Amino acid sequence: MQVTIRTATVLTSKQLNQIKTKINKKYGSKVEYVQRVDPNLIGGISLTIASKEFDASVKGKLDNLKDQLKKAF
Amino acid sequence: MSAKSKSNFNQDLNSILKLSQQIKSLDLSVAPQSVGYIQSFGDGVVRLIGLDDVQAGELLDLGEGNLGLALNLEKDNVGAVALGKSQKLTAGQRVTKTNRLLSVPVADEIIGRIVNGLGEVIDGKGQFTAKKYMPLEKVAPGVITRQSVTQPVQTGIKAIDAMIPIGRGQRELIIGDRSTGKSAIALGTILNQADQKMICVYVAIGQKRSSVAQMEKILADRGAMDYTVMVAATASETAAQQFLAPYTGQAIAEYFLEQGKDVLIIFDDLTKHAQAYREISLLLRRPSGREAYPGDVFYLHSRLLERACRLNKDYGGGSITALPIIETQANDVSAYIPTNVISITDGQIYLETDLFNQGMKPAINVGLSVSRVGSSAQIKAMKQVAGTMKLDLAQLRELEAFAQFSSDLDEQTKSQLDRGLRVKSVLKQGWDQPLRVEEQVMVIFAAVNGFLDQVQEDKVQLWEKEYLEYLNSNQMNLLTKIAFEQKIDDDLTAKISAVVKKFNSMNEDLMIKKEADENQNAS
Repeated sequence: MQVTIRTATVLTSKQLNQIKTKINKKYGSKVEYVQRVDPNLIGGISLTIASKEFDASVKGKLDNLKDQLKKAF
Repeated sequence: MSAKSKSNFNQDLNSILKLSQQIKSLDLSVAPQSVGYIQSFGDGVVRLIGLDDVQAGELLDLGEGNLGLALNLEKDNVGAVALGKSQKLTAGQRVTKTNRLLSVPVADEIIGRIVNGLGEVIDGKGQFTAKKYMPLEKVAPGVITRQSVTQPVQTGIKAIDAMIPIGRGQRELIIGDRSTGKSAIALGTILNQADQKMICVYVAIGQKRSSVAQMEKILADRGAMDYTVMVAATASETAAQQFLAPYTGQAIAEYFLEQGKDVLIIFDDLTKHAQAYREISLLLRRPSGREAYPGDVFYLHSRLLERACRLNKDYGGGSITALPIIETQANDVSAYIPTNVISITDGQIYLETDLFNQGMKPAINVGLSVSRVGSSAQIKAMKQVAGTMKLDLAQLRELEAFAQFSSDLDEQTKSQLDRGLRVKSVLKQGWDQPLRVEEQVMVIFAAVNGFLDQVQEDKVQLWEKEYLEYLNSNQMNLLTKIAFEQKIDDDLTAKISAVVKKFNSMNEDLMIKKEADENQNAS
């Protein structure tokens, strides 16, 4: 299974290990990690586990905000 | 500040406050979102990795406002067809699910409009507000919800209404080579539905835009757009749009069916539809079968045509009558797609190039055409007069070889020949000259009861034209009586015979000259 970690800045090894332990606990140990640094995210982290994306980045929240406001008006 | 600008300022302040309140109330928590990435895109087919839980036939958001349809769910990728123009798609682009199946917006205001294969308005008259979203793929109505077909669809074409009658809820195939008048029959039928309480949907698949524009003009000029919707996926549209157009038309028809209305839907033509589907299937690398068509090309048409039905009272009592059109190559009705659709429909109207070239228009081959609903969909008056017509025409076909020797035949054979030729002549009709059912009954009555035997053979159509003019100006009450009672009793028979005799006597110039016969007898 592949997990892609995207962050705006480079993660410290402590932060990275925290993430990896949590994911390994839930999904087992056969996980392949791919790291990407994308300044467009502004801040926060975006995890893509298999084909499910958990977007907790600032950009993700701003896009979400934009879509929801568009729908309301 | 002036009072007006002060109130504007207050209004703006209020809307800003409202906006900030709304933003505060939004839920921006992180939820898992199914995503995929574009692996490749070419020829309208998008290959995606990811999207493990996508549904078959689900709409996908390809980004940049493009939509796609997930058709191939494979082990390690998803094959989708891009709907619409799909510009700005790049490899690696993120794609998300929309969690909805393909559907089109419909409202009562869609009547008179032209939409494309995806339900988008293309006649430039602005979008209408959707009342309901009808799904393109739907399970056909079950057995218990249906009712047998008993009400007629009056096409206005004598040959069809008399011998190959179509009923409301039937599927009747119009099949023939190119330029034999298939679309003309469809168009003529639409034109005749003005006072028939019928909504028409015309689906143009893969046609030239000029043809669609021409058709729209004809319908608009004759006031037919007041009850017609056009769905057009023309030749330059993507194969995906051409593939979806019939289903869009069917979804629109079902919107009106649910209201209990009668709908006529015409698919022009399903051959191009099958070709568009073949194109998509081959690009998706699905296994091909006979003539390179995919294995489910039968299911493609059967699931479309099975949705044409007549519902019983408990389900609204509406009906959808389908007239699919198939173009054959060199009159070959035993090719793959024609045989498929013939086995699905409840009969076919077979048009032949030879008849067309001989001047028989509409070029219907009455012998090979059939309507499996038959006379249950005819009013009693029509049944009474048209009963012997098919027999007369069959006898004529047998005798036609002897027509060249007609001076050497005995009296009975000669009169049978003459009668057959006149009945055949009476079936000729202009595509844009539909006749009301009572007019048809009057003309056919005259033909089968021998009142035309004395008319000169090449003057039969002129006779018919003048007879109808005479009826419409002098005998309107007779026509209305037939239209109202819908059957001909003995009293009415006598009245009609008297009218025909009177008309014949008033038009001696159309009759065969009697002095010529006398001269012949004398010599």
